[in-house]
Amino acid sequence: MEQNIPQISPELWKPLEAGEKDSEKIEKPSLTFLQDGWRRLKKNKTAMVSMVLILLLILGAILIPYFWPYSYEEQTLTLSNTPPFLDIYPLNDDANNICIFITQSYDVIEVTPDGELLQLLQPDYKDVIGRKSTYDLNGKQLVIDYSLYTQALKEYNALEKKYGEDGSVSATEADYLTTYFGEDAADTTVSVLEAKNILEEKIDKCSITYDGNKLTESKSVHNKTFVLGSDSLGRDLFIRVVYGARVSLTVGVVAALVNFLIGVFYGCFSGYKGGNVDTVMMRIVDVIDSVPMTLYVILIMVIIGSGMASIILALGLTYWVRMARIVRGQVLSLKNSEFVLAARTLGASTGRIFVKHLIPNMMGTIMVAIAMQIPNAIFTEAFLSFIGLGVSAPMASWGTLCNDALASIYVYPYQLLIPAVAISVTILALNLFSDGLRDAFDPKQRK
Amino acid sequence: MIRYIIKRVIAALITIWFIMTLTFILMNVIPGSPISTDKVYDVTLQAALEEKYGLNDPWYERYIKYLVDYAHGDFGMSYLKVGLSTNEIIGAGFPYSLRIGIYSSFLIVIFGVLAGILAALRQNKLVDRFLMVLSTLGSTIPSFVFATLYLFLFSKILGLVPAFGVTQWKGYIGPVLVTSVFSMAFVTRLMRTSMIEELNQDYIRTARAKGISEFKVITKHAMRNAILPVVTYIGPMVAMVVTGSFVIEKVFGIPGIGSLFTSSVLSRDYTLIMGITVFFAVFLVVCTLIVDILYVFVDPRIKYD
Repeated sequence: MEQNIPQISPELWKPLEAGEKDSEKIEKPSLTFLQDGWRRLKKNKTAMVSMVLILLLILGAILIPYFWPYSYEEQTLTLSNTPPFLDIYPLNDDANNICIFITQSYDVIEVTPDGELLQLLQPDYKDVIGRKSTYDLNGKQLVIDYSLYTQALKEYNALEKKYGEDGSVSATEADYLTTYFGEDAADTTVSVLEAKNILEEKIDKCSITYDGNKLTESKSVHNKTFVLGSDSLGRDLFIRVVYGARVSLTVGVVAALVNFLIGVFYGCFSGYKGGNVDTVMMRIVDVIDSVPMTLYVILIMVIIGSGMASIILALGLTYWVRMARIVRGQVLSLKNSEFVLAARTLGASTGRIFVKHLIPNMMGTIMVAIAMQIPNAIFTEAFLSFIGLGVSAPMASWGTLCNDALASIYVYPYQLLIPAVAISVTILALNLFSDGLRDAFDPKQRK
Repeated sequence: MIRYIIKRVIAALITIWFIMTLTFILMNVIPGSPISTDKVYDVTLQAALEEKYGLNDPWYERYIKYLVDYAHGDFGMSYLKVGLSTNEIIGAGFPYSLRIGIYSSFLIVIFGVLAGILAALRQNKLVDRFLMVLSTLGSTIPSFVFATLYLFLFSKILGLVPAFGVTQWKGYIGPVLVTSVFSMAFVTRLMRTSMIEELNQDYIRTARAKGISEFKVITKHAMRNAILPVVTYIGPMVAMVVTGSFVIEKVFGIPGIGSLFTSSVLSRDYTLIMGITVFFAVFLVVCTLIVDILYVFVDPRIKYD
């Protein structure tokens, strides 16, 4: 024994250096399920861009109404239907230094050179039959003559009657064509279709005379008062779209949460009980599922009346079916696994098994299903609002904004385009994000 | 096989019964009588009306009468369109909706399947990317936006189609296209996925190795198998087309059953709402049933018991 001791040299008793000590450790940090999914999600550029977009949208919808100068219901009837871009005519002389904007209904709005709307000018003489209005601006006269288009239309109608839709006409036959072609009018022949096109697109629809001179030079400026224009009641379209975002997002999130609660509960119960209970519960789901949800939602809306709360209630009551199916499937496959058996052996109650063991294990699938349900709910809300069953006036939602714009779509297309783009971009972002989420958290479902 | 069909038919009948009951309950929990709502009637007149529509009877008598009447195909009288029965109103509107629905279904299936095959054959090439972008857009933009944009472009700017109604054949183009877009996008995706899956199967390699022309490999072998998921989608597709009609018929001004439903909902014409809901439900359930039964013939691999 004693002979063996000196064989271990003193160096061997020294502590190891720091680097050598960790050589046995596993370098990669262990990741939880959420961290792992998040890592995969971060690699998906489309999903990340969509996520940023959605976050910006949520922030905007929450914050913008607090500092925006207008409220969604504030009406400025004198400044109605102003587009986001204005064609303004500057009046520069010693008496006046303002710009004017002629609306589609030939009213005159005073505008600053950089596009801020000041006021609606009151004509001192308005000849409705002769389609002419006269304004007195500090002693100088401004005349808006909007009879040109009607006059030209009358001439065109005469031409169409005479030659039919497929004929061709000489430009000298109608005054507006003569004016349009100027010197070449004598030897120009155009088809009637072309004549119509000139009538609709090319000719000046009104003439503006200021102080005896015709105003022709206009410039396009951005509308500074109403960033995205104003609607038919002179309400700021931008803030209405923002409120629309609030409505849509609230509906989306709350409907998803409600259907999460009902769907998860229903699915868990059905899957866990199994047997006849399961069969009956799933038959009920089948029956509900065989008719489109929209039909039920509309029926429920008929009863509880339209409004935000009823949309959420209606969506919550009907949209849980898919979630219930998914959760049931998951429960069926998980309930016989070893960790559930272990928990039960240790005396855990059914409730505890669900909350602590089963639901955390299904979280990926559930999250993905919720994310897919949100754009659906938003779609349905827009759809319902569009057919008149959604939020009631003066509250705005994207669907009602589109519906309001429908009546004047040919004259003020921007009023439809803006909410339409808002819906489409939101749904697109949500769809792409939920696809990314699915790929990251639930790779089995990937198609 | 026959047992399977009988089972499906019974399930369909139960579904229809459930929907009828649900509709009945929903329409009866609304407080007040539908007659006493807006106008002040003479008391005797109101009593006579309530008698006529059977509103004084207890709920179970009305429920049984409702079930019996509906089973006989009698949907009752409209409350607001005086003198017209729900059957007549539905009968007048349904042909328009059906025509649009049938054209749309053909368009969806034919175009969707072709586009899906094309995308699958040119996987990750330009054509595929283009079709996938189109299909994403198609499932993202709401139908009412499509409808209004279509009208704006083709009716206002180009003047090619009428803005309203279906008196000319041109009037059908818009409604049919807009109704189809969403489902077409979905079918394209579905077909592409399943086609890609089938093209990677061994039997395709065998077929190619045997020297069969590529055209035959695709049409006779791959397509026949790949089209199965599309067949199962026909049920939901009919549902999409039906709900789509609510908006599309409104925008295009078509006097079909969808716009009828919307207007009856807005004017609270309860008998009409009930009639149309049940009509839709029966229509959908029957369509799903037919598809389910057809599926047995289309896909012999699946055994039913």
